[in-house]
Amino acid sequence: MIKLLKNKLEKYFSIIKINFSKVLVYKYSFLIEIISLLFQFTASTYIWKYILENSPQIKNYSISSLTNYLLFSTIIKSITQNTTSMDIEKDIRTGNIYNFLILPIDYIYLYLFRDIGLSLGRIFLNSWLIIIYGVVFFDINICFNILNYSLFFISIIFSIIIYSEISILIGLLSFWTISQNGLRYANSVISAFFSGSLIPLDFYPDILKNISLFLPYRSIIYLPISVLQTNTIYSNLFQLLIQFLWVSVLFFINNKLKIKAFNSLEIVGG
Amino acid sequence: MIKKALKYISLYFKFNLLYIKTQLMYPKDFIIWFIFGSFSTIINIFFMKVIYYNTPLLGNWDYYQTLMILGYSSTSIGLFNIFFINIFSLGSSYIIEGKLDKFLIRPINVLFQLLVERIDLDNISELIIGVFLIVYSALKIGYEINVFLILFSIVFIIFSVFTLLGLFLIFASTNFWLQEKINFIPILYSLFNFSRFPITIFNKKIKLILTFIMPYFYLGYYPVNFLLKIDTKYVYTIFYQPILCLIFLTIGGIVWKIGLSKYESTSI
Repeated sequence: MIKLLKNKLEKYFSIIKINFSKVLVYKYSFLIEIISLLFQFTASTYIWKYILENSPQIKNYSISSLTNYLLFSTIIKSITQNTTSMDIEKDIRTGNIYNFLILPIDYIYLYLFRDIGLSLGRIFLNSWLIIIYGVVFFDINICFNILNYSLFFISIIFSIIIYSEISILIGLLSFWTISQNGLRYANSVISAFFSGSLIPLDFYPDILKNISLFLPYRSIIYLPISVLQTNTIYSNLFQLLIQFLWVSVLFFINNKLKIKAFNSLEIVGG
Repeated sequence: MIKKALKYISLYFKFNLLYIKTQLMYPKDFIIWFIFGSFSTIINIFFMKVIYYNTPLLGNWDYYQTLMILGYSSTSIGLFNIFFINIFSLGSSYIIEGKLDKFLIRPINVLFQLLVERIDLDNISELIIGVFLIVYSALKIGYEINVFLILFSIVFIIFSVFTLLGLFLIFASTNFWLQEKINFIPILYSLFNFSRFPITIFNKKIKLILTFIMPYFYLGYYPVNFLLKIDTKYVYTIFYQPILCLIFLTIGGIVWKIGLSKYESTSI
């Protein structure tokens, strides 16, 4: 029994390992990704700095805590990026999916663990650069609170999984739509807005804030950072619980969808 | 000369038709693109709303005035994306995969073929929203819509689109030397974020860089400031743009020419 489990886990660990080292091979393209994210960070930091200088405190955020928020949102954005939905679409369109179906690996797990591996690689490569940029050009003080940071790390793992699951969901939808550029684009734009990647969701008008409560995007960026910035352990655990709920809900939907899709799978040529 | 121009114009429409036909292969997707293509602009409007929900003025600019900047910048970006989006894939696909070969063996200008191979009609929705924003905000501000406004907008939007073309050409051509290692285009796209806001909120270095070295502020801020005259210091900066446009197009053309002569096919 234990041996079986070990075998099963080994498979997925090696997927993580392979993709982790992949990041280091393509380090230049990841560097470009980081630089373009840093430009976004710079633009939005200037805007909110200007606003907060004129009215010193809005919704419990000071200039430094807001800059911190934007910095960590940049880090999470750079970590969670993936091309999964594009790859799944390609698998389906070209019939390549057949290669994965004969492997003794679950199709969803394959992409999930691939994304986790890539994201862990990016944590090592990207986050330092982004933090250094923030410390040098904007005065950011990172206070060390081990409990918060360890919870933050768990929370980031959850957000990687959630974003990956959303991408897989969109990828699987292309079983019915064939080409899904539009859906993918819509997803990326909506997630940018409702995940709180531009500013904390507290700044939004009430209607938009309420809409965000019912979407999984909130758990990708806003919740991890509030885990980092609030010090009460109970609220932190509650936020982690919400993330976990989304992980399981999306996992359930994906599995249902996968079964439905594979039953009606048709490969032209092959 | 005229004959050549006519030939290129007729070729242009033929290539367009070809591309539209390939697009209509996935009609559902085309419709979804058409709807969601405007999403980024709509999200930007939302973002603007959120900003002004928290503050009445952003560097002397109120909501509708900033919306006008957004309108101008999304019109320019939309036009650029419709006609010149294929530059995006020069480094990432044409040079690496050796796709450029097929252009080199035809008796037509290579750059023309590259630009014409993909006309991104999906971005029309972004263009429509951009124009709508200009008109809507002008009405809300109480700026009279007259012939001058229309002519001014057309001329300077064309200038900004061609300045962008020059800039993108310079950076895309670096891929002739760097191969697939570094592709600068995503960085250029991320700089569009700066073009949507009044520049008074940025510091001096950023102002200088984005005015003269990377002329992004001309997409939205300078034309609107010329029309509304809010920051008196920068009212006439807009007239640098024709010169910059010429400079960037020239440099872009030269870099492209040199790069193309260095091109080595990678396939087979």
